[in-house]
Formats: sequence, structure tokens, C-alpha cells
Amino acid sequence: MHTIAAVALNTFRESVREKILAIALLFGVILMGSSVFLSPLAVGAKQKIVMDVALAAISIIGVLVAIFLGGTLVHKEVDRKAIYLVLTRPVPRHAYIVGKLAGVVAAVALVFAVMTAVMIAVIALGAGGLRPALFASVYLSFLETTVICSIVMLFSTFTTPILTAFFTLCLFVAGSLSGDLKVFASKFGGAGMQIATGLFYYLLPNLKVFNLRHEAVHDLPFKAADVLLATLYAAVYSAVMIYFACLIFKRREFR
Amino acid sequence: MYVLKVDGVKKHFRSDMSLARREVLHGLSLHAQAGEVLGFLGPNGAGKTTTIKVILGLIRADSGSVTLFDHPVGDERSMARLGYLPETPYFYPHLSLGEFLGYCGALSGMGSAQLRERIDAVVEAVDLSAHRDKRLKAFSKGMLQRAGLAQAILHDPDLLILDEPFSGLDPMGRKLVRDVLIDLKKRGKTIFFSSHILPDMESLCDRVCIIREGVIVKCIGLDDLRKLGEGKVEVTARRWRPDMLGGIHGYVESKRETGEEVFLVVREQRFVRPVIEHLYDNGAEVLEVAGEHCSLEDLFMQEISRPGVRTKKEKKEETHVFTGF
Amino acid sequence: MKRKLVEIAIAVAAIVMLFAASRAVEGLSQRKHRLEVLYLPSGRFIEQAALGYHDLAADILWFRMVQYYGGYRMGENDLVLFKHLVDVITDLDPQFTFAYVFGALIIAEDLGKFEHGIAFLEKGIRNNPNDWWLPFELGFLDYVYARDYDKAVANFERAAKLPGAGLQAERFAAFAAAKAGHIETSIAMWEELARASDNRYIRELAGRYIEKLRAGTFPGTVKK
Repeated sequence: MHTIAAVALNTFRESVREKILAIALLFGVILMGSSVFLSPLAVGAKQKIVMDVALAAISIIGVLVAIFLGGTLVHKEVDRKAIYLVLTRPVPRHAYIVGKLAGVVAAVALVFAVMTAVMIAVIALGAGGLRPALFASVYLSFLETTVICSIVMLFSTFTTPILTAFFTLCLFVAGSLSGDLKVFASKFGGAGMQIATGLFYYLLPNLKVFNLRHEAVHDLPFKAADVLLATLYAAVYSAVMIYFACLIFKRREFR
Repeated sequence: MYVLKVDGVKKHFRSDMSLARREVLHGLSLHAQAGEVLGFLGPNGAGKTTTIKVILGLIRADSGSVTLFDHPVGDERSMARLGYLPETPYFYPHLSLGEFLGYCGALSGMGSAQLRERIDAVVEAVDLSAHRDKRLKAFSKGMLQRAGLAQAILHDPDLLILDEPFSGLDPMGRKLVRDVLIDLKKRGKTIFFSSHILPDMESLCDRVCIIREGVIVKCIGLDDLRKLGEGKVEVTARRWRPDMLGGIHGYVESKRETGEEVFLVVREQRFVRPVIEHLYDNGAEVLEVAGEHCSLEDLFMQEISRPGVRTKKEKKEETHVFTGF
Repeated sequence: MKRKLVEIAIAVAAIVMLFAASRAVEGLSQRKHRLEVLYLPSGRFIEQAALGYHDLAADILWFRMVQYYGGYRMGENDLVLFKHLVDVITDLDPQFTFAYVFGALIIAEDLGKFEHGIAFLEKGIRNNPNDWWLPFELGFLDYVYARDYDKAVANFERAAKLPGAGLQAERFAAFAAAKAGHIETSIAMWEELARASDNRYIRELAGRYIEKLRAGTFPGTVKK
């Protein structure tokens, strides 16, 4: 356990000292701030636009930070031979992977915390009301990002940062569209197609369950049970991804 | 007791694009005893780093066995007693030296009080006390090398595996590392290291193994190495003429001419006087007479300049075991 | 020194060329921009392309719609594609109430298609059954354009029963019932709308109609 904590702490420290994190945060803050300035052009939709931009910015930047940090950290450690110092100590390989994930998720949590604080300020400036659904939406976006982190870790155990980013983005797109894929197959596909899409549908991350942005912006009711279910889904999905990441990493050689 | 045992290790790699198989280690064997300093020498591409990585579990051998402290490679009990320094490391640029060593110590399971003490001690030992709070990205190559050594000895391991520990160091840095290794040797630690700097190896090692084309071609104790040259004498003379060799041919093992000067290796001590007298009688002038010994460089050059270590037939056969003297 | 001056001169010339090139393609870009509205695909398609950020996509199109309507008011373009735009916006964000309100008003008034405006508001009511503003607007349009007072009263009363309606909807229901079809009532309704709205376009619209009603030059009602 203490090795997982040590790896996590080190990963968190490395992550927050990466310039890209500060740049992503700055970009997010500028984006949210600019929505306040542009909202008068929105003619009657000012509050909606400020909230939409804030929630979308938190979500998108969270995903991009996850992909960048998670995708490059393992690769950089291998490149710099720093990973040899870890693996030649009494550190099981799975502890390294779990620790890395924990560190990246912690760094992403920091990004979320800062951007949420900015969101609160921006919505207050935009004379909007803060509501529980807003925070529930941010929480679910964080869960979504955690799932993305685990997918990134899986790919990073065996491929380069660019391919990791590419595959993860593909899964992100596919996961956002997976419901449509299933509907499409049920209407147009034969039996084989339906089985295949069914399999894909269940294997792909179902990212729709983490999307509460619409409800948050329009102050619509949401069920706490749905949030709990999404939390469990994120935990299970991430655990499975990390398990396979550990399996692959255990067999990896460092030439 | 053998701290490190490598027996009959074979390893091949597949080149990424063509999937062609490339044999790197061909049944390599070597052993290191407790408290021994074992040098590992070989030309570039001979398989030194691959061997070290197999020992550390970073690469899996195709066949053969590796044990550290009688445990199979990768066992946590042996990893806890092992310290490793990779070749030309870069480590974590955003961490300070103190943070870096703290991380390494935590991974080795050290408690915080013990860690604090040890960090102070190793940072002092590698002369980086003034740079403890500096980030590693500001370190020069030599400083990184010393930081690497610091993390390798931080948890006071019983076995140190060092890949080119003198790389990137200026003469002062080399002396510092040498002193650290000598101190570790005195304290009974086992050190296994590879290097291209032969004088350092000669002064530090108890034994040296030479690897070539994935096979250990020679394993020799440094005492035995010195004995190889014993009894011979080198005579340096000026105003030499090739026709002078005729009269002393039987006494001289080898000669090396540079213009008018010559360096003669006389076979035995008792032949020195007749050789000198012959030289003077023929008008040459003797400049120096010195006891000859076989250097590590001589041995190395001799081993690697032999024609093809492995014939095609031998390459097909898959076992070559050499455990040294 | 000479080399440095040459480099600076080339840098300045490069920037000037860049601006000139951007100016040269400006016309083409604007044409493409207008075409994008023309070829705007259906809301369903954009929803898929938006990857879960459909509210944000609706907002981006809303900005486009504002520019498009502004262009119409400045005489730069017609409003042929307005209905499609607001349709797509409300497909992406069915709870975008103001889009239905503004859209219906413009469809009824500027496009002169009262029935389409009504149908658009009905779409909004189907997606937002608890929003009082939509049946209220429906009542407004029924009263002012269709002069269908029974329907207007029914819609105002429907709005009054929904949460958040306040006294506004009840007053208008009372107006419509008590003084059905009277010009003063119409003016009062437009004045109330202008007072309650923080939207510049709606206030201007209301101002224009009040003038026409007072001058007796209101274009006439839409046939039931």
C-alpha cells in the first residue's frame, strides 16, 4: 500500500509541475471568463450560455488533461530510465500502475477543483443561481474523466503517447455515440451485426451516464440513485481497465 | 556464497519492422560472490546492458536462470537488497534532489526518520549537499550521475549493480565515485559494474568478466591478470637498427619500433643483461628498464581481436558456460 | 546591421502580405459562412456530432441565429432559414425556452407564418409541459394575431396554473375575458410584454406595434 501511495504522490507532484497543466487551467479560465463577456450577444440566453460554457469547459479540459498527463507520464519515465529505479525496488508492477492512476486522478481532481471555483465565480457574476445539479454535473464529469484516465493508462502501458491519445479520443467519441450505434444496428443490421454492435456497446465506455449538463443548466430534477449508479459504473469500468493494464505491464520488457 | 548467479541465459530480440530474430545472449553465465567487486567489460553491442537488464528482471530471459541472494529474479526479498544505477539516467526533471531521494527511499520501504538520516549521508557522500533543493532538470550530466549513485546506495543495499558508473564524470567526479565504491567494498558490499574506463576497473575490481557477442569469453581475477605478465622486462632503447635483433632474437618476446626508438619485451629476468650488453655493443643507448605486467587493456584487446568468438557451427550449438577461475 | 534591417523589412512585408491575403479571402469566407446556415443539417445529426455537448452546440447556433436575424434587420439577408435554425436549436436543447418564445414571435411577425409560430410554440410546450411562459406566449399570439379570444383565455389560464407564473398570466386571462378584442387591451398587452422583457428586440417590436395600434395601421389579423 505504501508503495502505491509513494508512486501516487510522486506522480501527482510531477503532474502539477507540468507546464501544460497550468496552460490548460488558464485556457479553461479564459474560456469561462469570455462567456461572461460574450453573453450580452446571446440575447436572452445569457445565463444558459455562461453555464453551458462552464460545464463544457470543465468536462473537455478535464478529458484533455487526462489524455495528456496519463499518456505521457509512463512513456517519459521509460524514456528517462526513471522507471528502472522503481522496478528494481521491491515495488510490484501492479502497484506502480495503480499508483500512477491515483496520481493522475489526483492531479485531474485539482484541475476540477480550480475550474469549479472559477465556475462558481463566473455564474455568480452572470447573476445566475447555483444549484445542486451543477455540482452533481461536475462530479459526474470528474467520474467520466477518471474512466478516461484508466483507458489512457491501459494504452500507455504498451504504446506511444500519440497513439494513446488517438485511441483514447476514438473511444471517447465512440463512447459518446454508443447509444446511437446500438439504435442504428437494431434498425438496419442483420443478426450478426446486432451481436457485434451489442458487444461493442457493452465494451465501450457508456459516457452518456456521466452527462448531467443539460439538467444542471435547465435546473431539471435528477435522481441521486442515477448518480450512485454512475459512480459504481465508473469504479467497475476503471477497475477492469486497470486490471488489464497491470496484466500487460507485468509482461512488458524494457529493452 | 554466491550473491548473483547467472546460468546459461539466452535472449533474443525481434526487430520491430521485419520480425527478424536477433540472438543477443547465447547461454551466458557468470557468478558474483559476496563481498566481491566484479567488473563487466565488453565492446559496444556485446550484450552488457542486456545482461544487466536480465539480472534486474527488466527483460525476461528465453532460457537459463538468474538468482539474486538465492531467490529468483523479481523476488521482492532480493529487490530490497539491490541497488541499481542505469546508464546515463535523466530521472525526474521536476523533482528536487531531496524529493527524488525521498521518493526512492519510500519505494524501498524506508521509514521517514531513517530516510532523513540516510539522505543527509548519501548526499554528503556524493558531494551534492549544496544542491539538495535544486530541481534535477538544472543538474549537469555529472551531477545527475552522482544523484543516480546516491539513490543506488540510499537504502544500503548488499548488492550494487552499476551500468557505467563513471560515465559523464570529470576527474574529480570519478575520484569521488571511486572513493564511494572503495568504501562500499570495505564494508563488504558486492558490486557488479560495467565500464569502459579500464584503469578504474583495474584498481577497483577483484575479478573481471569480458563479454563478446553475447558470450563470456574470459573471467579472470586481477591478481591472476598481473601474474600473466610477471617475469617479463621491458627495455627501451634509442639508436636502434633492425639488424640488431639477430643477436638477441631468442631472448626477446616482442618488440615495438617507433622511428629510432624501440621497446623490447625480454622473456625472462636473466636475459636482461645479455640484451643490454648487445645493444650497447652495437651502438644503441638503453633509456629505461622496467618490469612488465599484463594490463586489463592488453587482455581486453587480445580477447576482442581474436577471430569470431563463435563459429557458424558454434552459433548453431546453444551452450557456452564460463564461470571463471 | 544591414542584414538585420533586411530581416525586419521582410518581416514587415510578410505581415502586410498576410493582412492583404486575409482581406482577399474575406468575401469568400463570408459566403461560406452564409452557406453554412443554408446547409445546416438536421438537429439529430448535429446532436450526434456534438458528442454530448449538445447544449453548447445549441448556444453556438443561437449566436449564429442572433447574427442572422441582425443581418435581416440590417437588410443584409432574408429570413428564409430562420425557422430551420430555431428548429435545430430546439432539437439540440429542447428546454431552451427562450428560443421557442423568440422564435415563435419572429416566425409569426417577421415571416408572417402565424400557424408555424403556433406549431413551434406547441413543440416547446410538449418538451416543457411545466413552463408557464410558453402557453402564455401562445395565448398572446392567439389574442393579438388570430384574435381567437377563447383560445387565448384558455392558454392564459393554462399558464396561470403552472408554477412561477405569478399574477401576469391571470391578469391577461382577465383582460382577454373581460374586454375581448378591444384595441386598448392589445396595447396594454404589448406594453406589459415590453415592460417584462429584458430583450431589446422584443421591446422594439412591442414599441412598433403600439405605434401602429394607436395610429390604426396595425396590419390586420391572421385569419382563423
